[in-house]
Amino acid sequence: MKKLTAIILSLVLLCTALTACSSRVKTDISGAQNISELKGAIIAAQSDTFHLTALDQIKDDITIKEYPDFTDLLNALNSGAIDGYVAEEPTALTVCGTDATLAYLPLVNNSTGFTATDAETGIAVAFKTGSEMVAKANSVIAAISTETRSDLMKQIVKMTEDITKDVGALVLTSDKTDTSNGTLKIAMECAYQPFNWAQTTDVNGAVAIANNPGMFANGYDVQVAKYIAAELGMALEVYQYEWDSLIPAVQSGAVDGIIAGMSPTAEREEEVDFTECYYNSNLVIIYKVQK
Amino acid sequence: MNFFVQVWQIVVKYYPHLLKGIGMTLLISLVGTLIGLVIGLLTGVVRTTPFSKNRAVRILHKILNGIIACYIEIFRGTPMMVQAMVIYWGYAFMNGGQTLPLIPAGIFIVSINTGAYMAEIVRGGIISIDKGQFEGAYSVGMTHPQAMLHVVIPQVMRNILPSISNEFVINIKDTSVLNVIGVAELYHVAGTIKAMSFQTFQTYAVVCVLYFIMTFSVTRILRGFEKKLSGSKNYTICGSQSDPAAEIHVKGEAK
Repeated sequence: MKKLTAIILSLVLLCTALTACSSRVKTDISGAQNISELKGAIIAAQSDTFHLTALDQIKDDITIKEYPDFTDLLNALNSGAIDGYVAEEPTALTVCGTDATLAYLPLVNNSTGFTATDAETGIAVAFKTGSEMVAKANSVIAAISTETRSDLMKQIVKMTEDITKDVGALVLTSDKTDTSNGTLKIAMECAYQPFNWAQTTDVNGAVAIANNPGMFANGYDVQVAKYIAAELGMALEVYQYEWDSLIPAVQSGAVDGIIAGMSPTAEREEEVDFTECYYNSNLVIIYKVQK
Repeated sequence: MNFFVQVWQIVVKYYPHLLKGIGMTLLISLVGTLIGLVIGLLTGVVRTTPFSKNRAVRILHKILNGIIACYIEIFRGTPMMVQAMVIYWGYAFMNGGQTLPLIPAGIFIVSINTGAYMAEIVRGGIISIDKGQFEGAYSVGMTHPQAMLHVVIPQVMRNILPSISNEFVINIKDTSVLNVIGVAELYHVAGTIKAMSFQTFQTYAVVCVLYFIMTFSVTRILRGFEKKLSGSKNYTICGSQSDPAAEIHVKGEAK
């Protein structure tokens, strides 16, 4: 009898403890017009990114959290641990397109949104320090108009709604088929939609992943890599590496370059050489639509 | 209910990848454990061999023991994930960008890591065998290698089997750290699926169950093997000191 009472008592205690710690009072940020209206919210960003440093601009108003991987951010948001997280607009479009319970605040850098430089919001191709490929790739990137860049991103975002479906001809394709100038080995994570992802078919011009047989890489980065390689008369090979392995891969010469949605920050500039940016985006905040 | 539907959809949609990931995990952990066991046996035997009377051989033996001790301490004292990064990228930097092929690299990393643990497991197994076993073997004229091979090692193998199955289970789970160099084992596959489906929790729920099925079947299989090695409870001793034709029936205790 004593045992039974003890068990029941401990169960009751456990239940009270659990109910006490559940259900955080959430802050509704859906109506925020600019970043100063995020007061009181818990906002997260990915570790070691300028997204996280950008949050420091409003650190007195909000609670900042950081997570190592961008899928962790999504998980945290869905579980209710945070009110919103910082993402780049293409990512926000993809994420909100696949999940109707999510939406994003369309903030504009340096006006309603965060203060950020072009180097921070842009993404560029990285090559080994001193590589002559930088100048070659720059000549190709410079020829891609701002309009083509934004149109391509729209097509890519459309692809992400269902990566197995054909969306038709892409706006950025090269008509050059000569590959006599050798092979261009490019590293990326293949896990950062819509910039790069892995899929199981070669639909929409996906490229086979050289070190992961049976998988194909696609996304904005892949299409840009394809274009650069074709314009330079080279064959493209895509290699999948973890984020932290990307820079060692280039430095050791395992691959020639990185096209992985990587921003040309000063710290990275010391390790590798960057080209001009091939895409620029706004920092926005993804939040969960309150029922 | 929605959650279970999503979990099931992940299984249905991505089962070829999950199966490939399971295959890779089992391949690397099985081969890695076996090679690790061989490393452990060799180092264990070398370290428990008495020093030779020949001075040159004795010095060589001491140097070898020193090398083995360094190997064990270094590989047991650093995380496998760090070893993977250092070996994989260290090789690439030394060879001008030539990278190791992924699967052999993965097996190599797991093998040498397991070898360091196995060395201690085997050494423990050998020193736990009663001294009388060696003495008995010497007294019937066996040399040290013969005594080791025919008398001690068979007993050691039976005694360390639970530790080996322990290592195997640990390896099945620990191959997941090889995803840092891009080996497409189960955890790496989970990462790819989560990036494709945006369903982190659901994906890991599936992978969690798969890992458990793998480790649980391995422990059950090895436990069966252990029972087989222990032999039957009932056996017959043929012949005794007084009567060569005697048959002594030994009956195990009923459980």
